[in-house]
Amino acid sequence: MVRVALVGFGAVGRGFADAVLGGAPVDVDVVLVADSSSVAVDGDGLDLASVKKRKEDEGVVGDGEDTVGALEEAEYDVLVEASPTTLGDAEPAFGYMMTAIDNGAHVVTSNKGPLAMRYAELMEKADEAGVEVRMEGAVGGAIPTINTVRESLAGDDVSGVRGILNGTCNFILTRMLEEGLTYEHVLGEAQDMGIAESDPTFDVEGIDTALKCVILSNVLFEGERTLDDVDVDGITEVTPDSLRLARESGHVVKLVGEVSEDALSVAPRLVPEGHALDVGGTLNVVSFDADLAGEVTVTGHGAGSSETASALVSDLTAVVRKS
Amino acid sequence: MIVTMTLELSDEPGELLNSLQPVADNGGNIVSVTHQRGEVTPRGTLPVEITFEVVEERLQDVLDSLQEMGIRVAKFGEEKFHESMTVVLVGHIVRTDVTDTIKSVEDEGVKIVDFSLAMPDDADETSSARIVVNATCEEKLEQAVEAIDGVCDRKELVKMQPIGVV
Repeated sequence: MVRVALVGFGAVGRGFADAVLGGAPVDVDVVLVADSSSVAVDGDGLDLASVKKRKEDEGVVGDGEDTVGALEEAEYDVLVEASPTTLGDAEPAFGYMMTAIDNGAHVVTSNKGPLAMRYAELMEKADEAGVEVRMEGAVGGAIPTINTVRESLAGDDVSGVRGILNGTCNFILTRMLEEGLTYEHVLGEAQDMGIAESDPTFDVEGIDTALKCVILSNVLFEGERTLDDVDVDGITEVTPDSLRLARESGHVVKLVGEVSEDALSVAPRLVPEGHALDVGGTLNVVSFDADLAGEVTVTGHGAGSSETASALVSDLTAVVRKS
Repeated sequence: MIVTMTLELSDEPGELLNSLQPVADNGGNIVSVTHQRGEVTPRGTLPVEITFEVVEERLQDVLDSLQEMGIRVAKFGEEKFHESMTVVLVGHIVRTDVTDTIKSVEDEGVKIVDFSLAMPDDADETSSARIVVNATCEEKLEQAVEAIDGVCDRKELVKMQPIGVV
């Protein structure tokens, strides 16, 4: 039985709860659940169905308000951190993770903020405490990216990664090309369909992709890169004409993140039609350049609550099986 | 390899198409055809500059075929372009002087062989362009990429370059 503290009870956190209720590969007792304003703790294991119901009915998960205090006092083996990504000092998520590590717990997260803004601090702390920080859900949702580098390609020297890491941008560019529509028009459609947020800045300006690139870079090169180290261009200036001109020369335009030891960039790029990175709709794709394995490419749906929950459960299972 | 040559064609229907046939017959790929309307050589022929990609071993066959067809190759191989790159630009390309943009990128060993422009109906909106840059070697291509970066910074243009070009 693994005892879990779950922080963040939005789409991803509830997706994780659903996955646990549906039966995870390991026995899970969720002993703490927190959202942005409340916290519930039960050392014998919370009834997740009732916590979900209370969140729906009352907008809170429990009667407590002090999440950090609860994370200090409760007994759990793994913190599953699924609160919203914040930039700058990456608080409050960074503090939750540090508190859990102090408490001797492993961390499994889908939260890009602490990993992209304060990776070195977090890893130093985890190393000292002898606990793991796993982050598959932060990059590419359910697609194995981080664990591909850390585990599947552990024997290789991976010199670079290139990929499409934001489904919203890929949807917009795909649809603009297919229908010859303007960026503004397709963005509106994507918002109506729930594919783009009402404030789409984070996605369309390339920030989300940049954060994922920073995390990949930090994992690959054990570096201390942050968002400030990325050259970022988004897709807001892309015109239907530019997509047509690109297609006439046998290219599609994709928002591509590139990670190598000397470069870290996000920009709309020309991808040859039929290339491994030429995936449409909301799909994500990541291609690794490995010295022994050659080019390894993985593709799939990068976002969504059940996809991200899949990555969280997978990481949780890996932690349990190792310990 | 990428080859640029100037052909002298007689002013007859179908002559241009015929002149390109040897390239296609030898597995080549036409990159661009430039024809200055009104320009006539002292011999009364029309100079047409063609740029094409072909494997080096087949180039002589192309030249032989042209000779058999009676087409004179006026200039050939002044620069042998081994590298080629397509870039798409978005911004106020016309307003910021297209000629200056081309001049800023072209240099010895670097040539823009295609410039396709799409203008919006509304002049205040941005236009889009696709350029094909040929270079004699990798270093020259890198130099061209830097030059394009400089132009884009100066003119606030968005540049979309192929993956793999840092």
